[in-house]
Amino acid sequence: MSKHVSLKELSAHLDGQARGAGRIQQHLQQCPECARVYSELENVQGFLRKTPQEEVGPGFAARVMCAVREEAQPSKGWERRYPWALAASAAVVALCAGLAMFAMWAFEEAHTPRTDQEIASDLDSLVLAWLDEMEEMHMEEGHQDQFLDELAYLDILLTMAADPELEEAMLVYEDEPHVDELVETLDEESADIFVELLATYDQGAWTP
Amino acid sequence: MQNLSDWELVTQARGGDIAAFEVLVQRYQEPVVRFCSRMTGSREDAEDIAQESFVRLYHTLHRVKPKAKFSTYLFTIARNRTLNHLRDGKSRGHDKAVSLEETRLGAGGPSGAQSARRNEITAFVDRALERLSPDHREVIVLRELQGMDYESIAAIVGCRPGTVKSRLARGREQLRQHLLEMGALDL
Repeated sequence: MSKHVSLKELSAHLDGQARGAGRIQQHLQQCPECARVYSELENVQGFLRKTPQEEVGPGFAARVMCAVREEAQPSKGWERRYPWALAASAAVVALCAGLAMFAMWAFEEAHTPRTDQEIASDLDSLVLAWLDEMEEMHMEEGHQDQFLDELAYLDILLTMAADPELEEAMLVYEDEPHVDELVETLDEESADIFVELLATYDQGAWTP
Repeated sequence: MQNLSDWELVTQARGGDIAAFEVLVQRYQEPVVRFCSRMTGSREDAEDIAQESFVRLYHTLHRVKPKAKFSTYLFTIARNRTLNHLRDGKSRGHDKAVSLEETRLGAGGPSGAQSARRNEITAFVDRALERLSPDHREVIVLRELQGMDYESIAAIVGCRPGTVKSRLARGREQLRQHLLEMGALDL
């Protein structure tokens, strides 16, 4: 008699997915040990499939649609749906203000204007440090999906931070075709939030 | 509208037709709630997670590709939400598992006995599933309770079909051991 059939193959055989189904079938007829395990696996499958199908509560679809309509209402803005985005905007403003102050101080100290690349590099480092902090915070709280959304926005911010035309990219984003392309990669809702973030830059009097 | 395909409904919903989205909700509410319910062990949690999943789906309809299987996309959302829920430890505990004692006491007459047996099976399955890791539980639920093929399961859980095959084998073996310990396979 051939050696026993592995559990993996017996399980796949239950689903009609095993290689050499004929060989397994033949083995099962000759090997009481494998036949017993296979029969018990069949029972397990039968058990699971015999479980009564639960019915969904009568109001479920109505509740879902109510939530969808509520979310779709313009009065419920991004700042309520994504409170973290508000915090993110505030952090961006603080970050820009800090960087602006640093840039002004550096300007006064050195009496030489800093290049766009230098500013971009500083901003890049600060945003990266901020990202690490946000990642730690969101992973701790178990909001990985929110973090991934956030990461998508910040990825764009980083792309912009690395842009030598930083100031123009941030302040005149509507006229910058590459920024439009970036915004187009986001879904409508995310794009709205992103535009809000950019508007925050405008209000933050970004003056490197 | 009931006769439209998933993709046709997605297209209409993307264009702002909320009634088309409602048809999708009605079409998929049972399998999604059932999946979440078996994963969390709580009917109440399951409906909350399923609701969040449909709302998330509504906001990300543009990501559904014409050639992709709609149910795979929807179940991926529901699966991720469920795992987050389990990781956050927010579960309200098992509220639907009927105790074996209760089912036996409730049996009276032929239909009562039949119903008690059904409840008994459900209680055994719930207890055995609860003891599996989420990795094994999800493939078992998607395969045995949702009837999905290996490729669809692999797409939902983000692994190769070969991994699904291995996880199914391990999950089934653990279930077999648990059910044998409970004496359930003699029923």
